[in-house]
Amino acid sequence: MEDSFDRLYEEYHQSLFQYIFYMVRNREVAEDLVQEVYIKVLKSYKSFEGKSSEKTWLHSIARHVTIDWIRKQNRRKKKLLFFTLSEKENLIKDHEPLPDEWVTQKESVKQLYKTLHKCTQDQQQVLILRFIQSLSITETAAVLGWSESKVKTTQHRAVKRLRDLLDQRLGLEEELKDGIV
Amino acid sequence: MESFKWNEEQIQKQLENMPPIKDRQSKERVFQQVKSKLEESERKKRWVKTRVVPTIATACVVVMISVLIPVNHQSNQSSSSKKRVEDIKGFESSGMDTPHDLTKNGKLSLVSLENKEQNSNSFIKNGERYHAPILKGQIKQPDQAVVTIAYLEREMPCIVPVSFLVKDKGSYVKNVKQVLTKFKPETVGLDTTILNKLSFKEDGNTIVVDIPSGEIRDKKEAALFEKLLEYTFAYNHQFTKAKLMTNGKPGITIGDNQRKREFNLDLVGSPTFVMQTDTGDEFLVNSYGTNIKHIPRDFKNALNELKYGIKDERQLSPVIPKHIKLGASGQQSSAVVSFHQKSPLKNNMETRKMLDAIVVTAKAYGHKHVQFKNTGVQKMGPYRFNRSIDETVGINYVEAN
Repeated sequence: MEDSFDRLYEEYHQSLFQYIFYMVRNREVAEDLVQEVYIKVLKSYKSFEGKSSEKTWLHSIARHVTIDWIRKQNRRKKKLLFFTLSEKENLIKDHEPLPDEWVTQKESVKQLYKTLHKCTQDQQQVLILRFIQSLSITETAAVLGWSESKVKTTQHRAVKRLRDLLDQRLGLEEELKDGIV
Repeated sequence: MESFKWNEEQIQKQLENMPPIKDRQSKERVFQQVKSKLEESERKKRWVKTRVVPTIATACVVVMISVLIPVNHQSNQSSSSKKRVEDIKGFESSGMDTPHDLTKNGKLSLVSLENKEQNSNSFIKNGERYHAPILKGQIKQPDQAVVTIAYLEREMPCIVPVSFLVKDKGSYVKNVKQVLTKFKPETVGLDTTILNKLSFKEDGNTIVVDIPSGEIRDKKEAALFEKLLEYTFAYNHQFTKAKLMTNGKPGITIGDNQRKREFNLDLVGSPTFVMQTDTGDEFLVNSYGTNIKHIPRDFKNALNELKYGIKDERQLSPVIPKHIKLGASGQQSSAVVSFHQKSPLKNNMETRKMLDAIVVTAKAYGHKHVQFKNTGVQKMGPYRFNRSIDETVGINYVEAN
């Protein structure tokens, strides 16, 4: 088991961690989930038939683990929203802080990171896999279990949506500068 | 602040150049964590194999025997069934509930209900564990006492009062303490309670609660805390007032340096719903134990919510089926619920939960007794419909061990 773990860790760990982090936006959660991924991988390692590449297989498991966690969080948020928080309070809590190594990054990078979260879950997955993780269209389709044309369409819409959101954000900032409330 | 006009090409380029995020855990640490979690999961698997599988096998054997015996002893059936009817009649005339409505593990005994009423088991659902209320007549031993303790649901701030039957230690506070040390709320999907961190003593009708400093941080927590104390110390009107202390000094601070020294324990009447935790356990909860603002003013109006639920609320399920029509009236200590339908009530879990929720709601509004009319049947579970139903002395029965 340790040998398999060693090899997988060396080859894929940082990439898997980064994928999970961009999906959940919380370092501690990403640390827990990446361990979950290894547990699932090691349990089913013998049954991996090599029909897909190891890289897409691992990303696909990471995706399932992450989506499960996000769904649980969404259910929890819905309950909290009803029982304790007003919608406004809940939205404020949705903003996870920026990763601390990003303090010195340009404002445009921070804006993009914050806005990415406003896309739909499918759009976020495609943007993260395609551009941040640098997976090809074919690999992304294999991870998501989609057709390549669906990946292309979602990618096109996601980038457009991101641009619209960034434009809206810019407009809002300018209004605030002008003192419009 | 920098203003930047984006185009799609720039967005793609920027995404490709997003700063890398690295895991700061060492490889060894990750491996150790993964290894221990894998070992834990193996242990659980082994436990299922060694404990659960034989238990299921035994249960299957018991079921087979119970099916085969009646076939072999068909000739004796008529005399034994006569005896059973006499037994039940005996319990009815004694005014006591037939035994085994509350099982040892605190879950409603569906099997005994099934045997008594010769019903099908179609209402037994996998993973569903319903905790029924305790009626006064169900307490059989003179040295038994009921303790109710308020817990919180694990995922949402909803108060779930849980009742236990304990050996009476002579004072309610002592009884509460013995349950708090024994019971593990996580086994039924509930959260650990702040009550475990407190010390309390009784002073006449007042419960004196000492809280470690820093436990209650703001008004919201203080309000929730007050409700926890009300359900725990006033479900059966054991105490009327709570006196608060912090590390032995009078009063607690609840944000903005506001101090609170005492308050009256007034459980506000509210409708009852069924709520399921993530372990599949089902509990009755009052809307007063949640953050729902609107509370019906009387029992009659509360029954409307029992039937139609609360708008946009999905966690608290209504308990009166849509096809059931009923009317209600309440006067001081007693309430009357009349069913307006041609067919008799069906003896199943759905009906049982409805009846339970109605008597619990009636108690919440101060009606000690409930009379059910036009049910079309003589009895169901612990309920005998030819007389007023015993007062509910506990809610959501669970065994403390």
